[in-house]
Amino acid sequence: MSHPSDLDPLIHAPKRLAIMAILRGTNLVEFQYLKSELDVSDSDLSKQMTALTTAGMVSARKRREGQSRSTWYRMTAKGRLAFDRHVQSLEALIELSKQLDDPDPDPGAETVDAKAAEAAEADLSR
Amino acid sequence: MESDPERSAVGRSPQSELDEIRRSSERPHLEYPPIPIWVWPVLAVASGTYTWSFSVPYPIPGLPMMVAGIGLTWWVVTYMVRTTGVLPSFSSMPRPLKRQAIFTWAQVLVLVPIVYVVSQLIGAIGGAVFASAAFTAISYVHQRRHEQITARLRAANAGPTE
Repeated sequence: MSHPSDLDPLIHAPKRLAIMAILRGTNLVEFQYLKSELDVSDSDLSKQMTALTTAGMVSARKRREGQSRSTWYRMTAKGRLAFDRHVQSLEALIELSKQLDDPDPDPGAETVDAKAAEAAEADLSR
Repeated sequence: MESDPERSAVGRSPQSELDEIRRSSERPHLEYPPIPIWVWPVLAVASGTYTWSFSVPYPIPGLPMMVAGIGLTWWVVTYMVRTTGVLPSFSSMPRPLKRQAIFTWAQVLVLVPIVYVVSQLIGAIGGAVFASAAFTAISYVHQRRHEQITARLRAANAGPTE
């Protein structure tokens, strides 16, 4: 069972969360694709990707395509595990907040039901 | 929402984060362009060359034909991935798209032996023409259906989340 405290601080940052979510739905993603999807600068995306690759959550491979070089990313097994755990923690947090908002669905219902049952019993015994 | 735990450290609610995750992970599938129509005749030629290679003397010209068939298929697939910059994962595909992909590939699998029988009956060139026409028809139907499904999913994703 996941706990809200299992939220991964590395993944939690909005840009990295979006990157990880895109990578989770794909096998391979190219740098330019991520850049256009996230609408960020080269340096910003590069910084985020370095953080994720250094943590071992994403693997990078450079390929020569004609005159230019492109970088392709893939989510590692460690990254997949961390991301899925993060999502489960978010779900646990939502569940927890629902419980805090509504600790007892209808506390008066049981009392009313018990009184009704007692009255019915009394009617029968008459 | 009133309670504090509903807010995360960066001011987004967990529910909005989950919605964002769902939208982001579905984006490559929804934004991935449908398979271009020219791919199917090329794949038909590639698979035809590969199949035909078993009916001709080996190693010449059988082996080069086999390599050409595999090479052409590989080139088409890598060309499409390179130009789009993304290779969506089948396992993470939204369910309606997954069903549609399975249905299309089932049609292709049924078509392959039919193409083989037809090419035996009317000859290799006639078989290749038949294969191209049939693959193109499958592609057209798949493309239309893909567009309808992605439009529906995009509309669902664009709905209010909070």
